[in-house]
Amino acid sequence: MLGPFEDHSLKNQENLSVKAFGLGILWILAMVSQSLVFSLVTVLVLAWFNQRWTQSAKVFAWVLASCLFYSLPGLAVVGIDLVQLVKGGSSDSVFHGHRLAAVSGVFVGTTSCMFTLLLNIPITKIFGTLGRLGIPPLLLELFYLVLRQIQNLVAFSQAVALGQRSRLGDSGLKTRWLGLTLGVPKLLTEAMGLVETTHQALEARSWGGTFRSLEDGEKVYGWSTISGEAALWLSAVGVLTILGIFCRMHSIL
Amino acid sequence: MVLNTMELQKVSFGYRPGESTLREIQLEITCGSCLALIGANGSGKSTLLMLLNGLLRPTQGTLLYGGRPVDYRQRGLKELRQKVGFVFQNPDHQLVAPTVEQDLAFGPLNLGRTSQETRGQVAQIAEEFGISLLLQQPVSRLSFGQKKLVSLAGVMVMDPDFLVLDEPTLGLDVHHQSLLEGLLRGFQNRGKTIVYSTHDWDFLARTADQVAVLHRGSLVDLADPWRILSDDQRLVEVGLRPYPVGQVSQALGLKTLDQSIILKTLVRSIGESSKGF
Repeated sequence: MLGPFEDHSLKNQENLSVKAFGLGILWILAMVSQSLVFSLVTVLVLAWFNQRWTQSAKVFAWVLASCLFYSLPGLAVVGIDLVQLVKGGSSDSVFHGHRLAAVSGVFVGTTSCMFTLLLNIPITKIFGTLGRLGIPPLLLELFYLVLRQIQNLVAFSQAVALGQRSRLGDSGLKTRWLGLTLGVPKLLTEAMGLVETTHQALEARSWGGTFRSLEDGEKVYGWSTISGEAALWLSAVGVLTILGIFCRMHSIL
Repeated sequence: MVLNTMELQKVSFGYRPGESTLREIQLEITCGSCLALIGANGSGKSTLLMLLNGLLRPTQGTLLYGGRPVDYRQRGLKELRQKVGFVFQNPDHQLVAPTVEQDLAFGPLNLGRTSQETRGQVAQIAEEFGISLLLQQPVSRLSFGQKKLVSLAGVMVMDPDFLVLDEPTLGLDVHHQSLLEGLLRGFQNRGKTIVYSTHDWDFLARTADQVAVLHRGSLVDLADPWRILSDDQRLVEVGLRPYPVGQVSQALGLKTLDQSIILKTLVRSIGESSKGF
């Protein structure tokens, strides 16, 4: 039979687990939605400055890439805090918020720099530079194929969804679910096949591991872009700092 | 040494060990000719075309280019692909860059041309293909016909000696087909060689000098278009549909697939036979 101490400990542990789970979900949602909103705003502003609306495929690919880039480290921070909460029973780090603000600030900055570079320099130029820095061609090709796959998957998912709708795939929740379970494997297998074809397409036109672009050696971004990016970066960091200070004060009080 | 001639010497290929997609193909493609490959689905047409560009390597036999066996090391393949351009059947598989201009520049830049040179060549080819207004467009927004043109332009801009096309007319409307035909004719008039696979008999009759028939991975016939397209029994045997124009031409005792000549002869013979009534 368990004594009162063990009972209390178990109950405490259970409460903490529930709390950790709830907080985890909330933080994940906050991080993902924050990164999505920020990425979209950044992309739209930069696209406006650059008047590069036509490169929507690239923009879209980088919105997705940046979301991942931005969300994953944030999730890691949440993970660290949750481990601390569950193991140590201390919720201090979770509620202080300063760590979140600091890490978010760093990643906002990094992501902004990434955007400034990526949206103003053709992707082939970035790959070319990486190649000159000694990144193995195989790795570069892998990056390139991943980017192509994002475009391919978007195009295919639209086609698959359209194909399913044309055969009443959207007539109810059950058929939608069935469509999803059929569509996702189809997308993945198509994507795997397309990687092979894309590699062949690169090779067929004498690609030898070095990505080159028409803009090699040209000035590719102007002051307007840099100012726009800086303004965004400063306002984002400002908001996050204020939030961090607020959380800090709240925890002290 | 024979320049720009491609020769397949007993070339076999299989995607898996023990499998033969192509069996002992013996074929010589001469400089300045236009060779059409025909055959039922799965007969090995696309595989044969990919062998010509070095995308696939024969499992047996030798591929000769300019009288020399193809060197399958990186430098050799680069040299081969500079001379032999390959246009994929599905343009979505071929277009690798986000915008039309970037895609057209992809090949020349890979060949080591400068940005300035490449820009000039891209502008020129775009003008020739009538796609200048599309240069800044993302490839995802193009129509299928436009994508086909861009994928062909992306290869032509590399100025190859050999052009290999997988089903070039597939999915093209009449306007794009005649545009393509004109471009290919211009290419051939410059002494360059064309090899393509097709199921479009009209296009074949107008453009090809020679036709190679593939059946279950083997080369079963190699002759001029008239001889192949007027033999409907043979076409049916290898799983292809007969060509009515060829049948009419044969029935009239003509040895041409030129539809205007066939039509004139047909009208004349109908006129002559109606005199008896």
